[in-house]
Amino acid sequence: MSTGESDYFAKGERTGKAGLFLARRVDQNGKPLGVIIVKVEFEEVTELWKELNTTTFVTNSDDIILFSSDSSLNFSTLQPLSEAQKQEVLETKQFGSELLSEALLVIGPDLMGVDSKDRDIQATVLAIPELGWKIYRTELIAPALEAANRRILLQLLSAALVVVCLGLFMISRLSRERQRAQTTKFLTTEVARQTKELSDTNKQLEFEMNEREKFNERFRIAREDLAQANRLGSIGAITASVAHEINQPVSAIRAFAENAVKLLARAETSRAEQNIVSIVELTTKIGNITNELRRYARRGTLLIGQVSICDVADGAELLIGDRIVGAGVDFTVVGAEPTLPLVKAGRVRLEQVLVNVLQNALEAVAETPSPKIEMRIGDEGKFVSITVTDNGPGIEDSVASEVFTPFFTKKPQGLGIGLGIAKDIMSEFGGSIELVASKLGGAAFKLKVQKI
Amino acid sequence: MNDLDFDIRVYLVDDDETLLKAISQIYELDGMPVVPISDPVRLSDEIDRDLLGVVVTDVRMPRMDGFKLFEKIKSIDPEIPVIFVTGHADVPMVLDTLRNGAFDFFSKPIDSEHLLSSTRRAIETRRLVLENRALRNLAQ
Repeated sequence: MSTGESDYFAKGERTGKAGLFLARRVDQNGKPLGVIIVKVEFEEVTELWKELNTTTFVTNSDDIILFSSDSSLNFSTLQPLSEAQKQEVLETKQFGSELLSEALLVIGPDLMGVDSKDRDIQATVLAIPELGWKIYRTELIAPALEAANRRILLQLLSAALVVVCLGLFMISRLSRERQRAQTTKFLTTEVARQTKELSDTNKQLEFEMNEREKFNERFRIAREDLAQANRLGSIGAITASVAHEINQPVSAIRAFAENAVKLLARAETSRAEQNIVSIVELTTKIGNITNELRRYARRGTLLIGQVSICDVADGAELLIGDRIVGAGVDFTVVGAEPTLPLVKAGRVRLEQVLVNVLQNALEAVAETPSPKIEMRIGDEGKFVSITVTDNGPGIEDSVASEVFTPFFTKKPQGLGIGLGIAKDIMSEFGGSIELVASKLGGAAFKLKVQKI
Repeated sequence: MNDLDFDIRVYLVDDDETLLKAISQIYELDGMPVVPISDPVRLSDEIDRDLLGVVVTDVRMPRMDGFKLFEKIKSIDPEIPVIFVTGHADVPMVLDTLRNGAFDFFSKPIDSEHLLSSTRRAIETRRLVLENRALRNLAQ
Protein backbone atom coordinates (compact mmCIF):
# COMPACT_ATOMS: atom_id res chain seq x y z
CA MET A 1 0.00 0.00 0.00
CA SER A 2 2.89 2.27 0.72
CA THR A 3 4.32 2.17 -2.79
CA GLY A 4 0.98 2.10 -4.43
CA GLU A 5 1.82 -0.90 -6.59
CA SER A 6 3.08 -4.46 -6.28
CA ASP A 7 3.68 -7.42 -8.59
CA TYR A 8 3.88 -10.75 -6.95
CA PHE A 9 3.97 -14.32 -8.17
CA ALA A 10 2.34 -16.79 -5.89
CA LYS A 11 0.46 -20.00 -5.70
CA GLY A 12 -3.17 -19.39 -4.89
CA GLU A 13 -4.03 -20.67 -1.45
CA ARG A 14 -7.46 -21.90 -2.39
CA THR A 15 -7.06 -22.75 -6.09
CA GLY A 16 -3.51 -24.15 -5.76
CA LYS A 17 -2.84 -22.51 -9.08
CA ALA A 18 0.14 -20.30 -9.44
CA GLY A 19 -0.21 -16.88 -10.91
CA LEU A 20 1.15 -13.37 -11.08
CA PHE A 21 -0.78 -11.01 -8.89
CA LEU A 22 -0.65 -7.41 -10.13
CA ALA A 23 -1.86 -4.97 -7.47
CA ARG A 24 -2.40 -1.23 -7.92
CA ARG A 25 -3.59 1.31 -5.39
CA VAL A 26 -6.41 3.55 -6.58
CA ASP A 27 -6.13 7.09 -5.24
CA GLN A 28 -8.65 9.92 -5.20
CA ASN A 29 -7.62 13.41 -4.19
CA GLY A 30 -4.33 12.07 -2.89
CA LYS A 31 -6.08 9.60 -0.65
CA PRO A 32 -6.04 5.91 -1.33
CA LEU A 33 -9.49 4.52 -2.18
CA GLY A 34 -8.55 0.88 -2.51
CA VAL A 35 -6.53 -1.72 -4.44
CA ILE A 36 -7.22 -3.49 -7.73
CA ILE A 37 -5.59 -6.88 -7.95
CA VAL A 38 -5.33 -8.82 -11.17
CA LYS A 39 -4.14 -12.41 -11.26
CA VAL A 40 -2.47 -13.59 -14.44
CA GLU A 41 -2.23 -17.31 -14.91
CA PHE A 42 0.29 -18.83 -17.33
CA GLU A 43 -1.35 -22.18 -18.05
CA GLU A 44 -2.18 -21.30 -21.60
CA VAL A 45 1.36 -20.08 -22.26
CA THR A 46 2.91 -23.23 -20.86
CA GLU A 47 0.51 -25.30 -22.93
CA LEU A 48 1.80 -23.49 -26.02
CA TRP A 49 5.40 -24.01 -24.89
CA LYS A 50 4.77 -27.70 -24.58
CA GLU A 51 4.13 -27.86 -28.25
CA LEU A 52 7.66 -26.67 -28.94
CA ASN A 53 10.41 -29.19 -29.07
CA THR A 54 12.30 -27.33 -26.32
CA THR A 55 11.92 -26.91 -22.56
CA THR A 56 10.97 -23.42 -21.64
CA PHE A 57 10.61 -22.04 -18.18
CA VAL A 58 10.54 -18.77 -16.25
CA THR A 59 12.52 -18.05 -13.10
CA ASN A 60 12.18 -15.25 -10.55
CA SER A 61 14.99 -13.28 -9.05
CA ASP A 62 15.63 -16.16 -6.62
CA ASP A 63 16.17 -18.53 -9.56
CA ILE A 64 13.04 -20.38 -8.53
CA ILE A 65 11.26 -21.84 -11.55
CA LEU A 66 7.82 -20.29 -11.49
CA PHE A 67 6.23 -22.09 -14.39
CA SER A 68 7.51 -24.29 -17.11
CA SER A 69 6.61 -26.27 -20.19
CA ASP A 70 7.76 -29.22 -18.16
CA SER A 71 5.49 -29.09 -15.06
CA SER A 72 7.88 -31.29 -13.02
CA LEU A 73 10.26 -28.34 -12.96
CA ASN A 74 7.71 -26.03 -11.34
CA PHE A 75 8.76 -24.59 -7.99
CA SER A 76 12.21 -26.13 -8.15
CA THR A 77 15.34 -24.06 -7.89
CA LEU A 78 18.05 -23.55 -10.47
CA GLN A 79 20.52 -22.58 -7.73
CA PRO A 80 20.45 -23.91 -4.17
CA LEU A 81 18.63 -21.39 -1.95
CA SER A 82 20.37 -19.71 0.93
CA GLU A 83 18.89 -20.28 4.40
CA ALA A 84 17.50 -16.79 4.52
CA GLN A 85 15.86 -17.29 1.16
CA LYS A 86 14.40 -20.63 2.31
CA GLN A 87 12.99 -18.91 5.42
CA GLU A 88 11.42 -16.14 3.42
CA VAL A 89 9.75 -18.57 1.01
CA LEU A 90 8.37 -20.56 3.89
CA GLU A 91 7.14 -17.49 5.75
CA THR A 92 5.39 -15.89 2.91
CA LYS A 93 3.86 -19.18 1.80
CA GLN A 94 4.65 -17.85 -1.63
CA PHE A 95 4.90 -21.36 -3.00
CA GLY A 96 2.82 -23.09 -0.36
CA SER A 97 4.12 -24.84 2.63
CA GLU A 98 6.40 -27.27 0.79
CA LEU A 99 10.13 -27.06 0.74
CA LEU A 100 11.52 -26.21 -2.66
CA SER A 101 13.70 -28.91 -4.25
CA GLU A 102 16.55 -28.33 -6.56
CA ALA A 103 15.76 -28.46 -10.23
CA LEU A 104 16.51 -31.67 -12.05
CA LEU A 105 18.33 -29.73 -14.73
CA VAL A 106 21.49 -27.73 -14.44
CA ILE A 107 22.39 -24.66 -16.39
CA GLY A 108 25.86 -23.31 -15.97
CA PRO A 109 26.94 -19.64 -16.16
CA ASP A 110 27.94 -20.29 -19.82
CA LEU A 111 24.30 -21.33 -20.39
CA MET A 112 25.42 -24.87 -21.17
CA GLY A 113 24.06 -27.65 -18.98
CA VAL A 114 22.45 -31.06 -18.71
CA ASP A 115 18.79 -31.96 -18.50
CA SER A 116 17.15 -34.47 -16.17
CA LYS A 117 18.23 -37.27 -18.46
CA ASP A 118 21.89 -36.12 -18.49
CA ARG A 119 21.67 -34.88 -22.05
CA ASP A 120 23.73 -31.85 -22.99
CA ILE A 121 21.59 -28.80 -23.32
CA GLN A 122 22.12 -25.24 -24.25
CA ALA A 123 19.98 -22.47 -22.94
CA THR A 124 19.04 -19.08 -24.21
CA VAL A 125 17.87 -16.53 -21.69
CA LEU A 126 15.60 -13.57 -22.02
CA ALA A 127 15.38 -11.25 -18.99
CA ILE A 128 12.21 -9.50 -17.99
CA PRO A 129 13.67 -6.74 -15.77
CA GLU A 130 10.29 -5.30 -14.63
CA LEU A 131 9.63 -8.49 -12.71
CA GLY A 132 13.20 -9.65 -12.15
CA TRP A 133 12.23 -12.74 -14.16
CA LYS A 134 14.17 -14.66 -16.75
CA ILE A 135 12.80 -16.86 -19.52
CA TYR A 136 14.94 -19.84 -20.25
CA ARG A 137 14.70 -21.88 -23.34
CA THR A 138 16.77 -25.01 -23.32
CA GLU A 139 17.52 -27.19 -26.29
CA LEU A 140 19.28 -30.52 -26.59
CA ILE A 141 22.61 -29.87 -28.20
CA ALA A 142 22.67 -33.01 -30.36
CA PRO A 143 19.31 -32.43 -31.91
CA ALA A 144 20.26 -28.82 -32.18
CA LEU A 145 23.39 -29.75 -34.05
CA GLU A 146 21.47 -32.19 -36.04
CA ALA A 147 18.87 -29.63 -36.57
CA ALA A 148 21.58 -27.14 -37.47
CA ASN A 149 23.16 -29.62 -39.79
CA ARG A 150 19.78 -30.48 -41.10
CA ARG A 151 19.07 -26.82 -41.43
CA ILE A 152 22.31 -26.27 -43.28
CA LEU A 153 21.61 -29.28 -45.39
CA LEU A 154 18.13 -28.10 -45.84
CA GLN A 155 19.38 -24.66 -46.66
CA LEU A 156 21.90 -26.12 -48.99
CA LEU A 157 19.24 -28.33 -50.41
CA SER A 158 16.80 -25.52 -50.60
CA ALA A 159 19.49 -23.30 -52.06
CA ALA A 160 20.22 -26.05 -54.50
CA LEU A 161 16.55 -26.45 -54.94
CA VAL A 162 16.23 -22.75 -55.50
CA VAL A 163 19.09 -22.90 -57.95
CA VAL A 164 17.57 -25.90 -59.56
CA CYS A 165 14.20 -24.27 -59.48
CA LEU A 166 15.66 -21.09 -60.81
CA GLY A 167 17.49 -23.08 -63.37
CA LEU A 168 14.43 -25.03 -64.12
CA PHE A 169 12.45 -21.88 -64.12
CA MET A 170 14.95 -20.25 -66.37
CA ILE A 171 15.11 -23.31 -68.50
CA SER A 172 11.40 -23.74 -68.49
CA ARG A 173 11.01 -20.06 -69.09
CA LEU A 174 13.56 -20.18 -71.81
CA SER A 175 12.20 -23.39 -73.16
CA ARG A 176 8.72 -22.09 -72.63
CA GLU A 177 9.65 -19.01 -74.54
CA ARG A 178 11.42 -21.09 -77.07
CA GLN A 179 8.54 -23.50 -76.96
CA ARG A 180 6.08 -20.68 -77.24
CA ALA A 181 8.06 -19.32 -80.09
CA GLN A 182 8.31 -22.78 -81.53
CA THR A 183 4.66 -23.42 -80.86
CA THR A 184 3.77 -20.13 -82.42
CA LYS A 185 6.04 -20.92 -85.29
CA PHE A 186 4.67 -24.45 -85.49
CA LEU A 187 1.10 -23.24 -85.28
CA THR A 188 1.77 -20.57 -87.82
CA THR A 189 3.41 -23.02 -90.19
CA GLU A 190 0.83 -25.66 -89.40
CA VAL A 191 -2.02 -23.24 -90.03
CA ALA A 192 -0.28 -22.09 -93.16
CA ARG A 193 0.35 -25.68 -94.18
CA GLN A 194 -3.22 -26.74 -93.50
CA THR A 195 -4.57 -23.63 -95.14
CA LYS A 196 -2.39 -24.36 -98.11
CA GLU A 197 -3.47 -27.97 -98.00
CA LEU A 198 -7.08 -26.89 -97.85
CA SER A 199 -6.70 -24.40 -100.60
CA ASP A 200 -4.73 -26.98 -102.56
CA THR A 201 -7.52 -29.47 -102.01
CA ASN A 202 -9.97 -26.80 -102.92
CA LYS A 203 -8.03 -25.96 -106.03
CA GLN A 204 -7.75 -29.66 -106.81
CA LEU A 205 -11.50 -30.06 -106.34
CA GLU A 206 -12.14 -26.98 -108.41
CA PHE A 207 -9.78 -28.29 -111.03
CA GLU A 208 -11.43 -31.70 -110.95
CA MET A 209 -14.85 -30.11 -111.13
CA ASN A 210 -13.73 -28.02 -114.05
CA GLU A 211 -12.16 -31.07 -115.64
CA ARG A 212 -15.34 -33.02 -115.05
CA GLU A 213 -17.38 -30.17 -116.44
CA LYS A 214 -15.05 -29.97 -119.41
CA PHE A 215 -15.21 -33.72 -119.82
CA ASN A 216 -19.01 -33.70 -119.66
CA GLU A 217 -19.05 -30.84 -122.10
CA ARG A 218 -16.64 -32.68 -124.37
CA PHE A 219 -18.76 -35.80 -124.01
CA ARG A 220 -21.91 -33.89 -124.88
CA ILE A 221 -20.18 -32.25 -127.82
CA ALA A 222 -18.73 -35.56 -128.96
CA ARG A 223 -22.10 -37.23 -128.71
CA GLU A 224 -23.79 -34.40 -130.56
CA ASP A 225 -20.96 -34.48 -133.12
CA LEU A 226 -21.59 -38.14 -133.64
CA ALA A 227 -25.32 -37.58 -133.91
CA GLN A 228 -24.59 -34.68 -136.23
CA ALA A 229 -22.27 -36.81 -138.35
CA ASN A 230 -24.94 -39.46 -138.46
CA ARG A 231 -27.53 -36.91 -139.52
CA LEU A 232 -25.26 -35.40 -142.13
CA GLY A 233 -24.46 -38.93 -143.30
CA SER A 234 -28.12 -39.69 -143.65
CA ILE A 235 -28.62 -36.35 -145.38
CA GLY A 236 -26.60 -37.74 -148.25
CA ALA A 237 -29.12 -40.50 -148.50
CA ILE A 238 -32.13 -38.26 -148.07
CA THR A 239 -30.92 -35.52 -150.43
CA ALA A 240 -32.39 -37.20 -153.50
CA SER A 241 -35.60 -37.68 -151.61
CA VAL A 242 -35.71 -34.08 -150.44
CA ALA A 243 -34.70 -32.77 -153.88
CA HIS A 244 -37.61 -34.65 -155.34
CA GLU A 245 -39.90 -33.33 -152.63
CA ILE A 246 -38.85 -29.79 -153.50
CA ASN A 247 -38.77 -30.30 -157.25
CA GLN A 248 -42.38 -31.41 -157.37
CA PRO A 249 -43.86 -28.16 -156.04
CA VAL A 250 -41.31 -26.10 -157.97
CA SER A 251 -42.45 -27.80 -161.17
CA ALA A 252 -46.06 -27.20 -160.26
CA ILE A 253 -45.34 -23.56 -159.50
CA ARG A 254 -43.68 -23.08 -162.84
CA ALA A 255 -46.61 -24.70 -164.65
CA PHE A 256 -49.16 -22.67 -162.70
CA ALA A 257 -47.21 -19.46 -163.30
CA GLU A 258 -46.85 -20.00 -167.08
CA ASN A 259 -50.49 -20.95 -167.26
CA ALA A 260 -51.45 -17.88 -165.29
CA VAL A 261 -49.73 -15.70 -167.89
CA LYS A 262 -51.77 -17.35 -170.61
CA LEU A 263 -54.97 -17.04 -168.56
CA LEU A 264 -54.33 -13.36 -167.98
CA ALA A 265 -53.73 -12.89 -171.70
CA ARG A 266 -57.12 -14.42 -172.24
CA ALA A 267 -58.55 -12.24 -169.50
CA GLU A 268 -59.51 -15.30 -167.48
CA THR A 269 -58.54 -13.48 -164.32
CA SER A 270 -60.39 -15.66 -161.84
CA ARG A 271 -58.60 -18.79 -163.08
CA ALA A 272 -55.33 -16.90 -163.11
CA GLU A 273 -56.00 -15.88 -159.54
CA GLN A 274 -56.67 -19.51 -158.67
CA ASN A 275 -53.28 -20.42 -160.07
CA ILE A 276 -51.56 -17.72 -158.06
CA VAL A 277 -53.25 -18.96 -154.87
CA SER A 278 -51.95 -22.44 -155.69
CA ILE A 279 -48.46 -21.01 -156.19
CA VAL A 280 -48.55 -19.37 -152.76
CA GLU A 281 -49.60 -22.64 -151.19
CA LEU A 282 -46.80 -24.45 -152.95
CA THR A 283 -44.15 -22.01 -151.79
CA THR A 284 -45.32 -22.66 -148.23
CA LYS A 285 -44.85 -26.35 -148.83
CA ILE A 286 -41.33 -25.75 -150.13
CA GLY A 287 -40.60 -23.59 -147.10
CA ASN A 288 -41.65 -26.44 -144.83
CA ILE A 289 -39.37 -28.85 -146.61
CA THR A 290 -36.34 -26.59 -146.51
CA ASN A 291 -37.02 -25.82 -142.86
CA GLU A 292 -37.24 -29.51 -142.14
CA LEU A 293 -33.96 -30.11 -143.87
CA ARG A 294 -32.25 -27.17 -142.20
CA ARG A 295 -33.51 -28.25 -138.80
CA TYR A 296 -32.32 -31.75 -139.47
CA ALA A 297 -28.87 -30.73 -140.66
CA ARG A 298 -28.29 -28.05 -138.06
CA ARG A 299 -26.32 -28.82 -134.92
CA GLY A 300 -29.23 -29.62 -132.70
CA THR A 301 -29.98 -28.26 -129.31
CA LEU A 302 -30.09 -30.85 -126.57
CA LEU A 303 -33.40 -29.59 -125.30
CA ILE A 304 -36.21 -31.98 -124.65
CA GLY A 305 -39.65 -30.55 -125.11
CA GLN A 306 -43.19 -31.41 -126.08
CA VAL A 307 -43.39 -32.99 -129.48
CA SER A 308 -46.25 -34.16 -131.64
CA ILE A 309 -45.51 -37.68 -132.79
CA CYS A 310 -47.44 -37.03 -136.02
CA ASP A 311 -45.21 -34.05 -136.84
CA VAL A 312 -42.19 -36.28 -136.35
CA ALA A 313 -43.66 -39.02 -138.52
CA ASP A 314 -44.57 -36.44 -141.19
CA GLY A 315 -41.08 -34.95 -141.04
CA ALA A 316 -39.41 -38.33 -141.41
CA GLU A 317 -41.74 -39.20 -144.23
CA LEU A 318 -40.95 -35.92 -145.92
CA LEU A 319 -37.23 -36.59 -145.63
CA ILE A 320 -37.10 -40.20 -146.67
CA GLY A 321 -40.61 -41.18 -147.75
CA ASP A 322 -40.07 -40.31 -151.37
CA ARG A 323 -36.91 -42.32 -151.49
CA ILE A 324 -38.78 -45.32 -150.10
CA VAL A 325 -41.66 -44.85 -152.52
CA GLY A 326 -39.26 -44.15 -155.37
CA ALA A 327 -37.54 -47.45 -154.69
CA GLY A 328 -40.82 -49.12 -155.42
CA VAL A 329 -41.55 -50.01 -151.85
CA ASP A 330 -45.11 -50.35 -150.67
CA PHE A 331 -44.91 -47.82 -147.87
CA THR A 332 -47.82 -47.40 -145.48
CA VAL A 333 -48.27 -45.18 -142.48
CA VAL A 334 -50.84 -46.31 -139.92
CA GLY A 335 -52.28 -44.58 -136.85
CA ALA A 336 -50.99 -41.05 -137.40
CA GLU A 337 -53.89 -39.49 -135.52
CA PRO A 338 -53.47 -35.79 -134.70
CA THR A 339 -55.34 -36.46 -131.45
CA LEU A 340 -52.43 -38.46 -130.02
CA PRO A 341 -50.95 -36.87 -126.89
CA LEU A 342 -47.68 -34.95 -127.09
CA VAL A 343 -44.52 -36.79 -126.13
CA LYS A 344 -41.32 -35.94 -124.27
CA ALA A 345 -38.58 -35.68 -126.90
CA GLY A 346 -36.42 -33.44 -129.03
CA ARG A 347 -38.09 -33.19 -132.40
CA VAL A 348 -35.03 -33.34 -134.65
CA ARG A 349 -33.38 -36.15 -132.74
CA LEU A 350 -36.53 -38.25 -132.64
CA GLU A 351 -36.96 -37.62 -136.35
CA GLN A 352 -33.33 -38.62 -136.83
CA VAL A 353 -33.93 -41.93 -135.08
CA LEU A 354 -37.00 -42.54 -137.22
CA VAL A 355 -35.13 -41.65 -140.42
CA ASN A 356 -32.35 -44.03 -139.37
CA VAL A 357 -34.77 -46.84 -138.75
CA LEU A 358 -36.68 -46.18 -141.98
CA GLN A 359 -33.42 -46.04 -143.91
CA ASN A 360 -32.37 -49.37 -142.44
CA ALA A 361 -35.73 -50.83 -143.41
CA LEU A 362 -35.34 -49.48 -146.94
CA GLU A 363 -31.88 -51.02 -147.24
CA ALA A 364 -33.20 -54.27 -145.81
CA VAL A 365 -35.89 -54.64 -148.49
CA ALA A 366 -33.57 -53.76 -151.40
CA GLU A 367 -33.50 -57.37 -152.60
CA THR A 368 -37.04 -58.28 -151.59
CA PRO A 369 -39.42 -58.98 -154.53
CA SER A 370 -42.45 -57.07 -153.23
CA PRO A 371 -40.89 -54.76 -150.70
CA LYS A 372 -43.10 -53.48 -147.94
CA ILE A 373 -42.45 -51.05 -145.11
CA GLU A 374 -45.00 -50.09 -142.52
CA MET A 375 -44.75 -47.26 -140.04
CA ARG A 376 -47.35 -47.76 -137.30
CA ILE A 377 -48.03 -45.28 -134.54
CA GLY A 378 -49.72 -46.63 -131.42
CA ASP A 379 -50.93 -45.46 -128.05
CA GLU A 380 -49.44 -47.64 -125.31
CA GLY A 381 -50.50 -46.36 -121.91
CA LYS A 382 -47.75 -44.08 -120.66
CA PHE A 383 -46.02 -44.24 -124.03
CA VAL A 384 -46.62 -43.54 -127.66
CA SER A 385 -44.85 -45.95 -129.98
CA ILE A 386 -43.74 -45.94 -133.57
CA THR A 387 -43.04 -49.34 -135.03
CA VAL A 388 -41.24 -49.66 -138.34
CA THR A 389 -41.74 -53.06 -139.89
CA ASP A 390 -40.27 -54.42 -143.11
CA ASN A 391 -40.45 -57.65 -145.04
CA GLY A 392 -36.74 -57.92 -145.68
CA PRO A 393 -34.52 -60.82 -144.59
CA GLY A 394 -34.81 -59.81 -140.92
CA ILE A 395 -32.15 -59.88 -138.24
CA GLU A 396 -30.66 -63.20 -137.14
CA ASP A 397 -31.31 -64.12 -133.52
CA SER A 398 -27.56 -64.56 -132.98
CA VAL A 399 -26.88 -60.88 -133.61
CA ALA A 400 -30.17 -59.46 -132.33
CA SER A 401 -28.59 -58.44 -129.04
CA GLU A 402 -25.72 -56.66 -130.75
CA VAL A 403 -27.55 -54.39 -133.18
CA PHE A 404 -27.50 -51.45 -130.74
CA THR A 405 -23.81 -51.89 -129.97
CA PRO A 406 -21.70 -49.14 -131.50
CA PHE A 407 -19.65 -50.19 -134.54
CA PHE A 408 -21.69 -53.32 -135.01
CA THR A 409 -22.83 -53.55 -138.61
CA LYS A 410 -23.79 -56.07 -141.22
CA LYS A 411 -23.75 -53.54 -144.01
CA PRO A 412 -20.69 -53.51 -146.27
CA GLN A 413 -20.46 -49.71 -146.12
CA GLY A 414 -22.03 -49.22 -142.73
CA LEU A 415 -20.26 -47.63 -139.79
CA GLY A 416 -22.41 -49.31 -137.20
CA ILE A 417 -23.24 -46.14 -135.36
CA GLY A 418 -26.81 -45.52 -136.49
CA LEU A 419 -28.67 -47.71 -134.02
CA GLY A 420 -26.15 -47.00 -131.26
CA ILE A 421 -26.92 -43.31 -131.60
CA ALA A 422 -30.61 -44.11 -131.89
CA LYS A 423 -30.54 -45.97 -128.58
CA ASP A 424 -28.53 -43.17 -126.98
CA ILE A 425 -31.03 -40.57 -128.16
CA MET A 426 -34.06 -42.58 -127.08
CA SER A 427 -32.71 -43.11 -123.58
CA GLU A 428 -32.03 -39.38 -123.31
CA PHE A 429 -35.78 -38.89 -123.81
CA GLY A 430 -36.55 -41.53 -121.22
CA GLY A 431 -37.80 -43.67 -124.04
CA SER A 432 -36.50 -46.78 -125.75
CA ILE A 433 -35.81 -48.52 -129.02
CA GLU A 434 -36.06 -52.27 -129.30
CA LEU A 435 -36.12 -55.04 -131.80
CA VAL A 436 -39.56 -56.68 -131.86
CA ALA A 437 -41.22 -59.46 -133.80
CA SER A 438 -42.10 -58.47 -137.37
CA LYS A 439 -45.53 -59.34 -138.66
CA LEU A 440 -44.25 -58.82 -142.21
CA GLY A 441 -41.55 -61.44 -141.80
CA GLY A 442 -38.55 -59.13 -141.76
CA ALA A 443 -37.30 -56.87 -139.00
CA ALA A 444 -39.29 -54.53 -136.77
CA PHE A 445 -38.02 -51.74 -134.55
CA LYS A 446 -40.24 -50.20 -131.92
CA LEU A 447 -39.54 -46.69 -130.65
CA LYS A 448 -41.25 -45.68 -127.42
CA VAL A 449 -41.48 -42.17 -126.03
CA GLN A 450 -43.17 -40.95 -122.85
CA LYS A 451 -46.38 -39.00 -122.98
CA ILE A 452 -46.21 -35.57 -121.39
CA MET B 1 -55.38 -28.16 -185.84
CA ASN B 2 -57.26 -30.92 -187.54
CA ASP B 3 -55.31 -33.39 -185.53
CA LEU B 4 -57.54 -32.71 -182.60
CA ASP B 5 -60.42 -34.19 -184.48
CA PHE B 6 -58.80 -37.57 -184.08
CA ASP B 7 -59.38 -37.20 -180.41
CA ILE B 8 -55.97 -38.33 -179.45
CA ARG B 9 -55.60 -37.61 -175.77
CA VAL B 10 -52.73 -37.04 -173.42
CA TYR B 11 -52.58 -39.67 -170.66
CA LEU B 12 -50.75 -37.82 -167.93
CA VAL B 13 -49.40 -39.95 -165.08
CA ASP B 14 -48.06 -38.46 -161.86
CA ASP B 15 -48.57 -39.50 -158.25
CA ASP B 16 -48.31 -35.87 -157.17
CA GLU B 17 -51.85 -34.52 -157.38
CA THR B 18 -50.81 -30.87 -157.49
CA LEU B 19 -48.32 -31.35 -160.27
CA LEU B 20 -50.85 -33.49 -162.08
CA LYS B 21 -53.30 -30.62 -161.90
CA ALA B 22 -50.71 -28.04 -162.98
CA ILE B 23 -49.48 -30.00 -166.02
CA SER B 24 -53.01 -30.95 -166.99
CA GLN B 25 -53.76 -27.25 -167.08
CA ILE B 26 -50.89 -26.72 -169.56
CA TYR B 27 -52.54 -29.11 -172.01
CA GLU B 28 -55.98 -27.88 -171.23
CA LEU B 29 -55.07 -24.28 -171.98
CA ASP B 30 -53.57 -25.42 -175.26
CA GLY B 31 -56.79 -27.20 -176.13
CA MET B 32 -55.39 -30.72 -175.86
CA PRO B 33 -57.62 -33.32 -174.24
CA VAL B 34 -55.84 -34.66 -171.14
CA VAL B 35 -56.54 -37.61 -168.88
CA PRO B 36 -54.86 -37.10 -165.50
CA ILE B 37 -53.93 -40.37 -163.81
CA SER B 38 -52.30 -40.59 -160.37
CA ASP B 39 -51.99 -44.38 -160.31
CA PRO B 40 -49.75 -45.87 -163.04
CA VAL B 41 -51.08 -49.37 -162.37
CA ARG B 42 -54.58 -48.27 -163.32
CA LEU B 43 -53.33 -47.00 -166.69
CA SER B 44 -51.32 -50.11 -167.43
CA ASP B 45 -54.44 -52.15 -166.76
CA GLU B 46 -56.67 -50.05 -169.02
CA ILE B 47 -54.65 -49.36 -172.18
CA ASP B 48 -54.76 -51.47 -175.30
CA ARG B 49 -53.08 -51.52 -178.70
CA ASP B 50 -55.59 -49.11 -180.16
CA LEU B 51 -55.08 -46.45 -177.48
CA LEU B 52 -56.05 -43.05 -178.83
CA GLY B 53 -53.45 -41.27 -176.88
CA VAL B 54 -49.92 -40.62 -175.84
CA VAL B 55 -48.46 -41.13 -172.37
CA VAL B 56 -46.66 -38.47 -170.37
CA THR B 57 -45.36 -39.98 -167.17
CA ASP B 58 -43.35 -39.22 -164.08
CA VAL B 59 -40.51 -41.62 -163.36
CA ARG B 60 -40.54 -41.95 -159.60
CA MET B 61 -43.83 -43.24 -158.34
CA PRO B 62 -45.02 -45.73 -155.75
CA ARG B 63 -46.39 -49.11 -156.74
CA MET B 64 -44.97 -48.76 -160.30
CA ASP B 65 -42.26 -46.44 -161.53
CA GLY B 66 -42.17 -44.80 -164.98
CA PHE B 67 -39.77 -47.34 -166.49
CA LYS B 68 -41.89 -50.30 -165.45
CA LEU B 69 -44.93 -48.56 -166.87
CA PHE B 70 -42.97 -47.98 -170.08
CA GLU B 71 -42.11 -51.68 -170.34
CA LYS B 72 -45.76 -52.56 -169.80
CA ILE B 73 -46.91 -50.08 -172.49
CA LYS B 74 -44.30 -51.35 -174.96
CA SER B 75 -45.56 -54.88 -174.38
CA ILE B 76 -49.06 -53.73 -175.27
CA ASP B 77 -48.11 -51.43 -178.14
CA PRO B 78 -44.53 -50.30 -178.77
CA GLU B 79 -45.86 -47.51 -180.95
CA ILE B 80 -47.52 -45.62 -178.15
CA PRO B 81 -45.34 -42.54 -177.62
CA VAL B 82 -44.15 -42.22 -174.04
CA ILE B 83 -42.73 -38.95 -172.77
CA PHE B 84 -40.84 -38.99 -169.47
CA VAL B 85 -40.92 -36.19 -166.99
CA THR B 86 -38.58 -36.56 -164.08
CA GLY B 87 -37.18 -34.60 -161.20
CA HIS B 88 -33.76 -36.18 -161.22
CA ALA B 89 -32.51 -37.18 -164.59
CA ASP B 90 -28.91 -37.96 -165.33
CA VAL B 91 -27.42 -38.30 -168.80
CA PRO B 92 -26.98 -42.12 -168.83
CA MET B 93 -30.55 -42.55 -167.63
CA VAL B 94 -31.91 -40.24 -170.34
CA LEU B 95 -29.86 -41.85 -173.10
CA ASP B 96 -30.82 -45.34 -171.93
CA THR B 97 -34.47 -44.44 -171.92
CA LEU B 98 -34.35 -42.81 -175.35
CA ARG B 99 -32.48 -45.81 -176.82
CA ASN B 100 -35.19 -47.96 -175.32
CA GLY B 101 -37.72 -46.14 -177.49
CA ALA B 102 -38.95 -43.30 -175.28
CA PHE B 103 -40.38 -40.41 -177.29
CA ASP B 104 -38.88 -37.63 -175.19
CA PHE B 105 -37.42 -36.84 -171.81
CA PHE B 106 -38.09 -33.78 -169.67
CA SER B 107 -36.57 -32.62 -166.50
CA LYS B 108 -38.67 -30.86 -163.90
CA PRO B 109 -39.43 -28.01 -163.66
CA ILE B 110 -40.70 -28.31 -167.20
CA ASP B 111 -40.79 -25.58 -169.83
CA SER B 112 -44.44 -25.81 -170.80
CA GLU B 113 -43.89 -24.72 -174.42
CA HIS B 114 -41.26 -27.41 -174.93
CA LEU B 115 -43.55 -29.97 -173.35
CA LEU B 116 -46.45 -28.85 -175.51
CA SER B 117 -44.51 -28.98 -178.78
CA SER B 118 -43.06 -32.37 -177.91
CA THR B 119 -46.49 -33.69 -176.92
CA ARG B 120 -47.92 -32.27 -180.11
CA ARG B 121 -45.36 -34.20 -182.10
CA ALA B 122 -46.12 -37.30 -180.08
CA ILE B 123 -49.81 -36.93 -180.77
CA GLU B 124 -49.09 -36.43 -184.46
CA THR B 125 -46.91 -39.51 -184.42
CA ARG B 126 -49.59 -41.53 -182.69
CA ARG B 127 -52.21 -40.19 -185.13
CA LEU B 128 -50.03 -41.26 -188.06
CA VAL B 129 -49.46 -44.68 -186.56
CA LEU B 130 -53.15 -45.21 -186.00
CA GLU B 131 -53.98 -43.80 -189.45
CA ASN B 132 -51.37 -46.05 -191.00
CA ARG B 133 -52.75 -49.10 -189.24
CA ALA B 134 -56.28 -48.19 -190.26
CA LEU B 135 -55.23 -47.75 -193.90
CA ARG B 136 -53.33 -51.04 -193.79
CA ASN B 137 -56.42 -52.72 -192.40
CA LEU B 138 -58.51 -51.22 -195.22
CA ALA B 139 -55.99 -52.38 -197.81
CA GLN B 140 -56.14 -55.98 -196.57
